Amino acid sequence: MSDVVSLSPMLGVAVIGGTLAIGAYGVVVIDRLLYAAVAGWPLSLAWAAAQPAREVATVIRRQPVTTEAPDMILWVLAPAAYAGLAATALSVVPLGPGVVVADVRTGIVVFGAAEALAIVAIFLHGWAPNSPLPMIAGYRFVGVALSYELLSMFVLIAAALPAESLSIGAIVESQQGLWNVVRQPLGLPLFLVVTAGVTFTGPLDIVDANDIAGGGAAEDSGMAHLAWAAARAAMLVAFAAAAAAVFLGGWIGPVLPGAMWMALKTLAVVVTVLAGRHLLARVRPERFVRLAWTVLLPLAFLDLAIAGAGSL
Amino acid sequence: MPVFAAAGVGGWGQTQELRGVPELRLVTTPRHASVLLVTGTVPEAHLVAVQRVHDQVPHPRAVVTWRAAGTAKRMPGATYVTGDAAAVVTAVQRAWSALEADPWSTAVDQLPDVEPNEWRGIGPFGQGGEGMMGGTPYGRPMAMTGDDPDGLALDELRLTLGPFLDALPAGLVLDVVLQGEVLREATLRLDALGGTAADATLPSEPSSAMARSGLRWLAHALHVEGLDALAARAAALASRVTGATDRAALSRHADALMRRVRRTGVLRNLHDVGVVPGSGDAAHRWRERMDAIVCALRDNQMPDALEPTRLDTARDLLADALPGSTLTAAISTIVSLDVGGARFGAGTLR
Repeated sequence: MSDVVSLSPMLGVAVIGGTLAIGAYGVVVIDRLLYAAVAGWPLSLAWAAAQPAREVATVIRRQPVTTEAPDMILWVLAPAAYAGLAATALSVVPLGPGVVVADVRTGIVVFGAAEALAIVAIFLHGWAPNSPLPMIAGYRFVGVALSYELLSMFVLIAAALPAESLSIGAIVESQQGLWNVVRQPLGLPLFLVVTAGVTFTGPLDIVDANDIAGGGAAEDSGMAHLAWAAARAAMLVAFAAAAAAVFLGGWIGPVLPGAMWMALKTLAVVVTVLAGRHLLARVRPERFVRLAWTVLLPLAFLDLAIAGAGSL
Repeated sequence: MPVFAAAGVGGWGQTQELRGVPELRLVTTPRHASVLLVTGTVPEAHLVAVQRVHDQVPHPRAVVTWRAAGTAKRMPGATYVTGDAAAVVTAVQRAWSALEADPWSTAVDQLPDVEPNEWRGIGPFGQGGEGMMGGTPYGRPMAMTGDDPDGLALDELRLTLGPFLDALPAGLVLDVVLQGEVLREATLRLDALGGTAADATLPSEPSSAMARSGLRWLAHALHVEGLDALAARAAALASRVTGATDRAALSRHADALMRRVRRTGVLRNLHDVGVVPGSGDAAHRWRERMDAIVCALRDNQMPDALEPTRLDTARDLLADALPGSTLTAAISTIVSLDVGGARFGAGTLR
């Protein structure tokens, strides 16, 4: 196993904050490029690269409007909590060979806890404005959240079995000979479903959905809108990094430095999830719940069984 | 540039085509917009609603009216545009540049920041209800428990959606009673826009006009189902239909778009949604309309499938279909029926 490089708390905060900020910027650029490609617009990297800055400049100037009798504390705290959970999740993911901000032996458990608590943040974000459409979005999300949360638990435990450890660094090391995406072929697709669920992207964009005028974010404006959008992008970065580490061998790869491999694999996951956003229709909540319990959950059991059999 | 569009008579279809314009981004809520775009003439009955939408756009905000002669004078400080989509883009960009230079030139609120009704204690505009629930304080209906089909007592929330809800056709108002996301009661209203009444004139290229109207419907329907990039593609195609010389190329593009749409899984998702007598489910209606758009472009035909559904017909069809469905299924159903649409949307009502 590689030696683990311990980062001081201040440096750790800077590394996580910087990674999430750069990652969130990249998410918006990639999203705009994919949007343009699917819409049939001319592709321009310069145009796409300028979009995040333009949007931030526009949104930040906008007046933060509040509703009547909102729960202001929760309204402010929800995006902060969601972003904080993204940071917590990323802190246990190694960003390079042995480089991890929080090298805990139970990294998978910490990651899973952050994922589970995200449900609370997303629901409260819908609840706080005291407005019907955001509240409906919150209901919807809670209705489907358990269905994808269970998948996450099984696929992450399956990935931990060959490593005989709950540390994500150890899981990466266990993929030296064979990546988990090959060893456990069901794991990554199921984890991508989880990623789409917790970041409510693409087919699982049931929270901030167009049919309910933006749902949970329908009443956000100005900084509140920016904070929520940034937190969503940050959560996608954290989950893409985890997918890269747990299923795609993390930093393992020839020629290039390990951190570069990690970044490239994270990028690949981000592109995959965002492509799903533009190429797959939103699934109705009740349909997803039925699909999750009758098809996806049995597949997750199967994934765990395959991992268990392989570890005997 | 984030723009919220409020469409009145004659404005809905041309608004949908703006989804294909890269310089503008039509947003789903006025809270995310910098510019309010009022298209077509807003009927008198919806003036207060559009003023309310206006006041929900955060400062600094600008207002642009497009072919909205009857409404422009009710929007002080608005830029009035009569040209094509390019003229709208120019007007929106100019309005925003002016705001950037002088944020204090923001459009002022149109309605006073007061309660919609006075507090009257117990009564029609009072607390009413029981305990801490129910009643209509200040005229706002509050949730009250009601029995659901399983015998449970769940909160019932009364909501009015529209007439400017982005997901619904322009002018359509949907009154619902919700338990969670399940509709217990639903009533459609389209009293102010007059349904298809403005469609008396036959355009010079009726099949093109129908195809264009169909593509505009598709752009909106794709947007509602979360497929904004494909909606932009449909909208751009719609804007190229009228006067196009190479109809064969257009129909090939439309065919390619329909294949892409089918691959998104949207039809599977709409399977068994909004089943109404004689019209099948929403997926069936989507399939028919998509085939009809290609057919109208390729064979110069006017397929029946592109006929919109009149409101009175829709009311009958949906009387049994909406109660018991979820809000998302109800909206998908209404969109799939093209309720209150116009046959030749390009030139007239939509």
